This record gives sequence, C-alpha cells and structure tokens, in this order.
Amino acid sequence: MMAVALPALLILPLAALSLSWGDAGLAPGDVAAWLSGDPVAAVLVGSLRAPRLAAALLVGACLGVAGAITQAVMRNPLAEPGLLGINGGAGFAVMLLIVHPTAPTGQWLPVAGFAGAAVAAGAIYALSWNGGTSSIRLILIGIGVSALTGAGIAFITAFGEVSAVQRAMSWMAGSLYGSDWTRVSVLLAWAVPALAATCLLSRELGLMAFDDDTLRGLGLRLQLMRGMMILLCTLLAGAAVAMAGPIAFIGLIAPHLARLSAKPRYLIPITALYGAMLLLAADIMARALMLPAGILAPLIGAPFVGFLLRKQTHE
Amino acid sequence: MSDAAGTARLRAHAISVGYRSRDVLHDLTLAVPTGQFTALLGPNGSGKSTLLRAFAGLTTLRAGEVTLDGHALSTLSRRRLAQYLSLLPQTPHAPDDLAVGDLVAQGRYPHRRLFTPWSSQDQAICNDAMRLTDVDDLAARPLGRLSGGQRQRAWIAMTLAQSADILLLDEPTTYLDIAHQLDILDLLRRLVRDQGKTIVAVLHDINHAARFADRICLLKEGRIVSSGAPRDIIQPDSLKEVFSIEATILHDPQDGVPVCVARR
Repeated sequence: MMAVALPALLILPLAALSLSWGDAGLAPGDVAAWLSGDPVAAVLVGSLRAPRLAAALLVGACLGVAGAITQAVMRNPLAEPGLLGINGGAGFAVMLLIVHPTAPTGQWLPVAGFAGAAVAAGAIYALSWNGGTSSIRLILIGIGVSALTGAGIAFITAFGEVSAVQRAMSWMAGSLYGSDWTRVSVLLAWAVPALAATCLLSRELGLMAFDDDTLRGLGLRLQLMRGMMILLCTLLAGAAVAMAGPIAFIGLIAPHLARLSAKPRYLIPITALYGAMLLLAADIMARALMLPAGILAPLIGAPFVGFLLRKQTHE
Repeated sequence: MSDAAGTARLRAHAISVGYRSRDVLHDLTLAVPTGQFTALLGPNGSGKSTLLRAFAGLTTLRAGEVTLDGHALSTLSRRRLAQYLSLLPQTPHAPDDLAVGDLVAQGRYPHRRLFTPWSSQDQAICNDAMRLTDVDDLAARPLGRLSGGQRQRAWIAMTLAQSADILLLDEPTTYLDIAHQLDILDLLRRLVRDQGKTIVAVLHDINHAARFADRICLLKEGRIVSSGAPRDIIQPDSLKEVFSIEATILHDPQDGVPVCVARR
C-alpha cells in the first residue's frame, strides 16, 4: 500500500501545481472553472496545461515501464531503453527528416521518431539472433547500434545545413512543449494496451533475472517471452520518444525507485507511477527555467544514480 | 542396459547431439529407470551434461529422439514438460536479494496460468519442499546470505516445488564441502525412497555415485561405455577404460559398498 501511496501522493500536488502555475497563475478555484466552461480557464488549462500534464504523466509512465523491461531482459540494472537503440534510432531518423531539403516536417516528426526507434530496436534484436538471443548479445549489439546511430547524428550535425541542424537539436533535447489533446489521445490509445500487456507479464519479467536453463526448465518459452518484451519496450519507448523526443534517465531511475518499496508483483504499475512523477517534476522545472524537460531529467536523475551506487557499495 | 527398460518413462533413442562440427553425443540410447537414482559419470567433456540437457529437452538433437511416456519431447509444450521433468542446472542463477520462499514459489510456475491466483495448495507444496530440504527456517532469508550448502538445498526445494516426478540435476554437489555433499546425496536418496522420485544426476565423485546411486552410467566421448548397478560398474577395467586411471576396488567392511582407490 505504501508503495502506491508515495508516488501517487507526490503526483497530486505536482499535478495541481502544473495546472495552476504559469505566466498567468490560477487559484485552485479558477482551475476548477475550466470544467464548468469558463473561457479563460478553458484556454489556459484546457488546451495548454492539461494536455501537457497528461503528456508528462503518460510519457513518464511509458519511459519508466520501458526501462523496467530493458533492465529485466538485459539482466542489467543500469540498462535503459536507449540501449535498445530507441533514442539513437529515433534521433537519427528525425535528423534525416529535418535536414532533408524536400522532406515534409511538422506532423511527420513523431512518425519518423517512432519508425527510427522501431527499426533500430528491430535491427538489434535481429542481429543478436543466433538460434535464440541472449542478454549479453543484446547488450553488446545494442551498444554497437547506438554508436552507429550516434555517429550518423554527429555526421549530420557537422555537415548539415545549420538552421535545420538547430531545429533538429532542439527536438533531440526532448520537450513536452506544444502537447495537444490530439497527440495525447493517440499516445493514450497506443500506450495503455502496451502498459496493460506489460502488467500481465509481471511474473515473467521478474523471472528474467534467472539463468536461461532454469527458466526453460520451469516451462517458460524463453525466446517468445524475450521477443514479446522487446516488442512492448519498443512500443512504449518509441511512443514516448515520438511524443516528446529522447528523454534519458527516467527509464533508468523509475524502476529502481519502485524496487525500493514495491513487491515484484506490483513492480510495473508502481514503476509507471514513479516514471510519471519524475517526468512531471522535470517538466515543471523545465517550465520554470524555460528549458526542455529532456535536459532537466538527467539533473533530477544524476543524484539518484549516486544514491544507488552508495546503496550498492553499502550492501 | 535393457534390464530396467520395462519401467522407464524417460528414454533416449539413438540420439546424436553436436555443436558445429563436433559431435558431443553419438548414437546414444539410454532408458532411465523409473523410481531410481541414476548417476552419470565420466571424464570432463564426455557428454554427461549434454545428455542431461537432452533429457530435459534443452538441446537440439541431430538424430534420434528423447521420449517421455512414449511421446517425443519435441511434441510436448515447455509448460507440459516442466510438469513432468524438473532441471537443476550446474550453476543456476537468481537475484541475490530474492528470499528463499520466493525462489521456491517460482517452482509452481508451470502449474499456474496467467490469471490463476496463488492457492493454498501451491503454498502447501512449497512448504513441503522446503521442509524436505530443511530450508523451512530460511524462507525469509535472501539467497545472497546463504551458505553454499543452504543455497543448493534452496534450489533443490525449488525443483521439488515443481511437483515433477523426474528430477535432473547437473553436478548438485560441486563446490560443496564433504559434509554438505553427503547431505545433498542423502537428500536425493530419500527423495527416491520416500517420494518415489526418479533422479538422474551428473556426479564427479565415483565413490559417491557407488554409495548413493541405484545405477551408474559411465560415459566416454559421447557414448555409454557401461551402465548398471554400482557393484557391476565400479570395476578396475571399466574405470581404466573410461577415466584412464589405475584403481583398486575395495569394499566397505560395514556394508560392502564398492570404494575406488585411484593410484594413478
């Protein structure tokens, strides 16, 4: 119970803050006026702040859960969805689209981002297949593919047209600016089934830390499970990156925070709550400092990494 | 090899297993006698572990088939197989912070479907498994804080919680001191005698196999050299052929169990 209560209690005041605070501050009563049809509140809250709040919560939940899946499949507590090529693939695809002189942009960026992420994750999975996959091969090939996409991004940054590169870099920073209900509802329809499916795999995700022979001896269809988990992770992290650009650290930190209190059975929903809370906090700071949330997430995340390292050495 | 074949549920029929160009098992046929403790003995690289994995349905066969109650393992689902056979690999791995009770509970995996809740029967089976292996007092302790012997008993409890009739164990006594080795072997003996389990274990120590197993199967270079009761198998000739050692066979004055004294 405590495990659910803590992130939920943190989310509520943050959400209230996110709705009421801004260039034009609103009292709680004014926020509520949005629901009763007040025109000013409808614009400020209904079409600007509420969709951004919803986007932060959803993207954060997706990133957190994708992180939990990556850490389970790769059997590595320091893994995050970026290691599955998600950020690199999405970044490279978006870069290509933006600097290409004739390509359409705007609404196609999320599509390109998702496609790039999916292609990179698919390539990592396919390249690590050798009569089955193993955690270590996935990690090694993940690092290789990430390095390749990184090199591609660096190449375009160095030789692309400057203003186009500038725009691409601002996308790469990762931000929730300009979230609207249309995109939020697409993300919702996409992410909720994937989140639910991941919850159903909780037992198998917990088992992934065991060795392959033990798992198969227990009757687990290991390759099928691993494939499904990587697919779910790609759907979740790919959707998040399409919505907000690459945002690091949430996928790394949220599962660790959840593990501090949650029973393995409830790890996935609690991780989703922590992910939502972390990105909401990062986005509020981002609004206060006029910076993209993607830059602030590591600022929140870095102290946690220090904390985890300290905890591990003490154990 | 045919003496116990009538009561064998698990059989390997002329199986060959190979990695790349090297054959690890050649045309090997073996029936595992039901309700007995079979020990697989042989030098390093003789194919003992590969044979055990083949019995568990974990290796791809180049030829032949392994059958359980007459059905080829390849035709059974993994879940189904796990209800009949449980496997303890040589170096099983689980998170260090996992409590013994939670490890043992994973043994129920093949018996539970997606929405099947944990039942009191599941818990009773786990409790029995922990009592038999004498880890019931350690249920709340994380694996990382167990001694080698306790840890091995916890893993055996997990394989028992699987409620499979046939247990396949790969070197269950390696890395343990002599007292704990005897503990584990004695436990396996009791599982066969009191619970009617069928056990196949890869062992390294010839004398342990002679004392605790009902049958010994000697392997060399992927083939079975001889198989039968310890008394018939533990002979200077066969040990020389398989291990290339000169040995004298004595008999324990208390119970007549053969004891191998290797000289070189």
